[in-house]
Amino acid sequence: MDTITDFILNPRVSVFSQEGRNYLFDPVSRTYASINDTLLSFITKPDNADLFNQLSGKDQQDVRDVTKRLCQLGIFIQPEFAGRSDLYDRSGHSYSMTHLTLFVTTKCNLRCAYCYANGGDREKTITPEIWQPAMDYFFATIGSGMVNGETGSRHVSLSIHGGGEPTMEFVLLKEIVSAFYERANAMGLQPSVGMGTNGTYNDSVHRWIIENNISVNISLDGPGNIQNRLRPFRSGKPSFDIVTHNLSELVKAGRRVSIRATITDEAVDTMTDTMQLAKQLGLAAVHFEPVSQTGRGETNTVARPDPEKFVQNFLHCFLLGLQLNIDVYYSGMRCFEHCHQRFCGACGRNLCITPDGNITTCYEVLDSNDPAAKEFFVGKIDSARGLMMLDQDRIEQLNQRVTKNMVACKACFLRYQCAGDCPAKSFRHLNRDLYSPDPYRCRISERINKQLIIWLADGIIEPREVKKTSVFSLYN
Amino acid sequence: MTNKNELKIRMVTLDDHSLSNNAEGISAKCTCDGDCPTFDCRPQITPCDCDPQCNCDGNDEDQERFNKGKKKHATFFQMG
Repeated sequence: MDTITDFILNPRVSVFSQEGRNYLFDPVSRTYASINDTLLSFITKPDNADLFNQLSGKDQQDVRDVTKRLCQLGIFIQPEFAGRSDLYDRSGHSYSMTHLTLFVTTKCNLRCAYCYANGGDREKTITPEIWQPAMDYFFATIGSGMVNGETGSRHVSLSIHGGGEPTMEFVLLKEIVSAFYERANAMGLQPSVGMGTNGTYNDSVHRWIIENNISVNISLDGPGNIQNRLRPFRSGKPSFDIVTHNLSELVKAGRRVSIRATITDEAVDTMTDTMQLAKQLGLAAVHFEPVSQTGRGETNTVARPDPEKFVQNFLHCFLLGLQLNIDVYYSGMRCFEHCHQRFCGACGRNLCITPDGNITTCYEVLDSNDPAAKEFFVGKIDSARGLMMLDQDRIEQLNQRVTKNMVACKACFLRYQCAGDCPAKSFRHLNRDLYSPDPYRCRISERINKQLIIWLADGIIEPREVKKTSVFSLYN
Repeated sequence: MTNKNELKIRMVTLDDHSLSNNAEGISAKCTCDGDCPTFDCRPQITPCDCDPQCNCDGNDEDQERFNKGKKKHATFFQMG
């Protein structure tokens, strides 16, 4: 190989120190390393010949061995490639067409204290004049994509999402899912259906879920006192018992079941209790997420958890999850993932249809009165003519919300995995700018991800333990 | 003169594609545009000069390759 001084540290690689120790993180090869001060001086400045020449012969050979290894991983590169390694450009990318999301109804039997969609406050249900043109467009696009060789995957999925509780319109729900399966099967595709639900459904819905192999993601915020306070029925009655009953039934049916726990300031100290509850129920995964202060959460007396408390409790739950064999997840926990250019499909790739016939890319932006609608609404269904009217310029603008354009993230170690964090939360915090990540979430993500990198580098956790949760999730 | 054994590193790599990386740290095999999680494109951020061929979304056969790659390529390197 070339001499050590011919190389530089790839700009994509981050080095940071914590509590007197040094760590290296390469997002591409997903390399996590702890290094001492002496070696750090070479890794950060491998082209410093004077430094190298001061070493003993044995240590020079050790440096060469490390250098060879780092070159193999792309962590060291030749300087002439440094200008390229951080660049990314993308053009001519088509709208995502293997995944369709329908918001069935705004009706809801719960009145959650923080509901981002003000679910149940008005009652609007999707009509055939709305969902059928969307499904027509979806399968027509899949079909033409297959003919033109643009669609390589034969897997198509339908998500039934919130804004209300979809099982409140069970007859319609069954009709939509049946139509999706039939059309996909007729085209020789492999369909799957997932649904976000509050978990208060009855036994007939449960049987339908099992018989139709519907993946479900159920919201449960924690122990009874928390769940019943934050997620009561509209009548005020508690919801904990019915939700945990339905979770148990899914587990009994052999399902790998996950919950989404929205964390407020009053729930943050119950996260460990939630893990124990998950163990009792036989759950496979817990997705913790700090509450969004939008919708009812903006006006009600719920507050975001203290970020440091959330971090500490999350990290404790992560380690506890390894003991209990429960995957623990947070949307900003990205350091074990492969590189992404986008935080989520809201950046121009989702196709989500609201009951009003609006087409949005973001699961959190459903109401045309929401100021964020001007960013995330990318079209409207013309129900009279049965047509999808898409704003291609808006889609392309959202498509530009990728890592390379996130100026605020240029120096962040997590930029290739986090990709600027949640664009809707970026928009909502203070200045209504898609390109300014919410510092509250950045603080949480930085703390959690750095600690996980450290744990893996130091051997506190093992590679086999860092698999991303493989259970169904609607939130990415 | 620095003493022996002063150089210490403990390094875990989840995607060791070192055999296929070229001098740029980019997979020599990559034929996609770098935005999908398939085996060939993961080692890179910069798009290759070749025509985009990969339109996968990480499902089906690509997911199988993804899983195989993940299991096969986790490596460990330690010194000192």
